Amino acid sequence: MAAPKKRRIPITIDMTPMVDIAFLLLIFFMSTTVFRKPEEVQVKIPTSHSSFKLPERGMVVITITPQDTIYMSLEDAALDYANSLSEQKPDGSIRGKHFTADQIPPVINALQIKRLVNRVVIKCDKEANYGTVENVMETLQKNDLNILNLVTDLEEERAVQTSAGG
Amino acid sequence: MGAVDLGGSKKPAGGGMSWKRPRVNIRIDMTPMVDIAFLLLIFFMVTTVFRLPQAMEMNLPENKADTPPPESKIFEKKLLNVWVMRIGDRDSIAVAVGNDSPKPLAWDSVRAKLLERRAAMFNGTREEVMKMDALTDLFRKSESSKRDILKYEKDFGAPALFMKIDSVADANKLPRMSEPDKQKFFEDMKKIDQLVVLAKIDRKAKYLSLVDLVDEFNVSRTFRFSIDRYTTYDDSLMRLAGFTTGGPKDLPAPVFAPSEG
Repeated sequence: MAAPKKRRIPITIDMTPMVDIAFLLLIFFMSTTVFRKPEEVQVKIPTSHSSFKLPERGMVVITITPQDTIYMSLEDAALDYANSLSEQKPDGSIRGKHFTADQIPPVINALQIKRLVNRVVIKCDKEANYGTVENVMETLQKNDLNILNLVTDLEEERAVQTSAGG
Repeated sequence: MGAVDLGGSKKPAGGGMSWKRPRVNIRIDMTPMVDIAFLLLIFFMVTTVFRLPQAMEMNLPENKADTPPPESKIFEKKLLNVWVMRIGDRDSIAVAVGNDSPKPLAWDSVRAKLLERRAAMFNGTREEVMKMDALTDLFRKSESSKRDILKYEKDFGAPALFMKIDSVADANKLPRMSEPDKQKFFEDMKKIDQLVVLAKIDRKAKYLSLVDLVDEFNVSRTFRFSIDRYTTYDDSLMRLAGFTTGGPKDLPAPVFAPSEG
């Protein structure tokens, strides 16, 4: 190569460390991400002061909509389908099955035998009728499922307000 | 960016035969790969959920014919330590002491009322109740005790409890209580514990009312509460007091018949 008198030095930035970090982060996020199941029904959950965190696995969620329809689900869609908590509709889509309150305990018992469930969680819309929830709680209670978790959002402003108000 | 140097320094096989091999610097353009990597990185960062859902725990009592209900001391004559909180179909709340008729209560004042009631159980003030609650919390969280004060006394006796209260106070850099104070504190604890609240919620009320009420119980530390069926008797009481619209209940009947006792 014939070097000219005044040599132009190209500015090269070494990207290697940045790319290393990027891949590191990528691998971290890929391995830690747990995909949330797309929610079939939207429920507005009430707020409370409870800060108890639910585990990621081993729970069956009983969802109650404002129209008092009851669905049940496990942590992922494949498990739901395998345990017939969801079914295939004529149009090919897989949707959650409707349950009545008295159908719930046998399903939960079957899931417990398969060791899929150790916690029952009720996720109910705040506008749903208490009567529906009462039915569900009563059937669970009759079947020795006495410990329930009600999904709530953490309520912070009111906690501050009351502690200030004494 | 990335460069791969394929060395031309390898000696050709064979003896005398040798040829010149051009040194080739293969440069692989990494830009598209890095682009994709960043794209994926951003995607995973956005979709990662770090916050787990929160929940409120609820323990229902056993409901079986062969298990007797747990005993609780109720002052037979006045029923002063029993409160009945009823929620009507319009989510209005009313409170009744014992067998009295229900009186209206604003949702904002439920907590204050419960705290006041707990204070009244031992003729104390709300501030005293909160102080006692704070100490109870410290006691329960303390590594060495890990249980409620009353349970501790039951298991190990009063002298051990009083020593433990001192050690909890020391660990939290609080002044120690005098012996009579501790005695009084313990007696008051027993009385505070005597408030029993019965919640009766109309089937046509909203689920939100249940969560709100249980939350108020938890915040005001009224731990002896139970949820009972809202009967036609409750409905008639509420209707008399003008809290509910009454009328036919259009919800389906409960799956199991209530155990009338």
